[in-house]
Amino acid sequence: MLEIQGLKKSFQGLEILKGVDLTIEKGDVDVILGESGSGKTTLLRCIDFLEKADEGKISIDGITADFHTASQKKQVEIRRKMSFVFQNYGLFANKTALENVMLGLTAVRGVAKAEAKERAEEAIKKVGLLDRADHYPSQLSGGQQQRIGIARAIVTDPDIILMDEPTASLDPGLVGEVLHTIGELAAGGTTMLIVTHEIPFAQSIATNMLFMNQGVIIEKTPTKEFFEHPRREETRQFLMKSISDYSFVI
Amino acid sequence: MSKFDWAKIPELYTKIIPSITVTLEYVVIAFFFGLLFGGLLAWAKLGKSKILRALAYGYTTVMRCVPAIVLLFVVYYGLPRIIPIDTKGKVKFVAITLALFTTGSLSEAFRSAYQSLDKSQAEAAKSIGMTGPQALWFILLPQMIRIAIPNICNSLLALVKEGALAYTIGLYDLLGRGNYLIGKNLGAYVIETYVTLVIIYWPISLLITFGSKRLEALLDVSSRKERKRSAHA
Amino acid sequence: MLDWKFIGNTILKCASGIPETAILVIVTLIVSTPIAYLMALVNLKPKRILSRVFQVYISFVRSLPLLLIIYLIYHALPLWILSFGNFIGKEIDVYKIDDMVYGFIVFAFVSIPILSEVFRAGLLAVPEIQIKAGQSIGMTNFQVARHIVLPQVIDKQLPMLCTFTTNLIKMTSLAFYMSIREITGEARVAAADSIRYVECYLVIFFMYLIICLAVEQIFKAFERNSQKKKEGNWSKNYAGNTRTQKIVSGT
Repeated sequence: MLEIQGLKKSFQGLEILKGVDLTIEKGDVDVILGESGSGKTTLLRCIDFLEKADEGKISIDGITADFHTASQKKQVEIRRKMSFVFQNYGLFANKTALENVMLGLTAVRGVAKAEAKERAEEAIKKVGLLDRADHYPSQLSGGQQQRIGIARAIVTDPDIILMDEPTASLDPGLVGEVLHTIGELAAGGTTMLIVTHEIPFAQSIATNMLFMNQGVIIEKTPTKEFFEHPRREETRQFLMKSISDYSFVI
Repeated sequence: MSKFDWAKIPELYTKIIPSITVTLEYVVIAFFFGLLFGGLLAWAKLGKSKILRALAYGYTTVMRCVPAIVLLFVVYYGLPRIIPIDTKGKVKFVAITLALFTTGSLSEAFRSAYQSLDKSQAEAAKSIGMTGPQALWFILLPQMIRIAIPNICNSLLALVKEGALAYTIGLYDLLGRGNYLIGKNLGAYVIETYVTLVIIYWPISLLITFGSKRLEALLDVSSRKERKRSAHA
Repeated sequence: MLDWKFIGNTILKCASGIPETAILVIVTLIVSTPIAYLMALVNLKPKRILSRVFQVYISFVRSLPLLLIIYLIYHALPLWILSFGNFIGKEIDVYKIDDMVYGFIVFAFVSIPILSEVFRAGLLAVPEIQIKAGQSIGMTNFQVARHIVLPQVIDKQLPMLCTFTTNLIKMTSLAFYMSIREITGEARVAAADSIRYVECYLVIFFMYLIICLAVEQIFKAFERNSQKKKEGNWSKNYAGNTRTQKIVSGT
């Protein structure tokens, strides 16, 4: 459903992405693991055109575009097929939680206000924050902000949700509620591409595991197999380092 | 319609520029008294007396809300009715009006500079045995001045600009002199005269702005050390 | 002794200039705001040629006495319009142009650079993630500007916009020199008619004071409103929640 080919991106002469190929099927939850600095976040941002890639092709739901030549109009068209959950939540500071969620419907897709409100409330209910709907972001805890960020992402019924380390900015005590919310989405069949460092969590929700190393995805394996028989030496090293009681079979 | 005559500008310039002494006179007098009373007013604002504080803030509010030209007229026509004062030397009315204004804005500059100081500075000064005045003179004031410099220079710039209102009570400062020449030339070279005034006023303002930046950099101890170090390197 | 009847009449006379003052201020704000905002956007990249031109313009307005700018434009503009008329081969009667139009032009000319600096500072204070988040939900750049950036800039810069508005009200006191009979203009006429200068100018002294204080109060009301968004009553909502205390203490 989402297909990326040959995605390249450099920052000031330093090549961060060296030709990423990636396919995600409908209903899959794919999790990307990798060392920090391997380009995971840049990859997600490039897919959503939040960062301009230097090269590569994207194809989603029948629309195809080149990353570096896509017109503004095309970029917006493709973005509207996707949603993005930011590490730092990125809630609109001047809008209440409800307005944050509604905006993608009213301002962007021209949905009537009453209907948008209904759908937004439904989305907020899913993340369990209906009682905070009229609060401003500054009045919410980090975990709550992120859950509203997720509500904002699901309300437009996107083909896929991209999540960039959704729990990395949270206090340890608040991580659980957000992971729980994402887990429910996964169980409900939402297509997602997630970058995270929460390995046990990934293990429990992911359809496939992707491993990224030095700007390329070097392995995509069904989750169970990924942890039991990682194909690449780099993946093994990473898993050994990340999971204390890790053991695998070759 | 006559064409713009560039050749006229040097002549106009030499005729207008001597009047800069008048402009400088009211600016310097107003600035001096503004610093003095502005300091006192800031002291009242930061002090313990509720009455003084209310008076000081009230005064600043009034000065913030009333146009300079209105205050100038009130001073010019009103002051001679209250105290016996010679109405001929008009420069003093301009200087008084400007001093009244700049007292308000400078008091705010001082107050905000004081309040932006780290509390630990005063405590540290006292901890090494300094008296209150000593702490103020050696530690707080030097730091305050650096913080206040941009605002102080803005007040000075405002003095130069608002001072041009002097012409409205018939004082021949720079702008007044320019208008006088227009009258003398029977309305000829109007645009040339005003362009000449632009050529005179603009560098004055740029000089104040530039001086402000230089002074700020000079007093910035941390960056001075940086510069020395990089000079050695 | 004060002649209260005379003062009463003067108040009425000067108050008849309030509409002119108000129109000058409001039209100037409406005309200047969009232009100033665009200028601020350009000035975000100070190395652009256009941005350098704007910086000269900003310096011009900041450096010169308002009265000089008024004289200059008031005298130069008719000539420019005439020669523009000649250029397009049409005769324009500059003397038919209303003085208020000159007022709008002069005050917009001096307001635009000041406002653009206010907006520029506000724009710099909007975190990039707010823009990216807007894009991520599929907004066009225009929609991001309208729904996200502009409201946040205005929220942030309300105090500066308040200062600017009161300054603009004060600036219009010089509109008399363009033959506009606003508050100060009315007072000057009243003073000349009655030769009671002090009374007349004291009347408008207090009139300006009241108007500016009222404007400040209106802005304060808006500020209180936006303050709610910024701070909120966070801790109150969470009283007794132990997990929250951890967040509040910053661990």
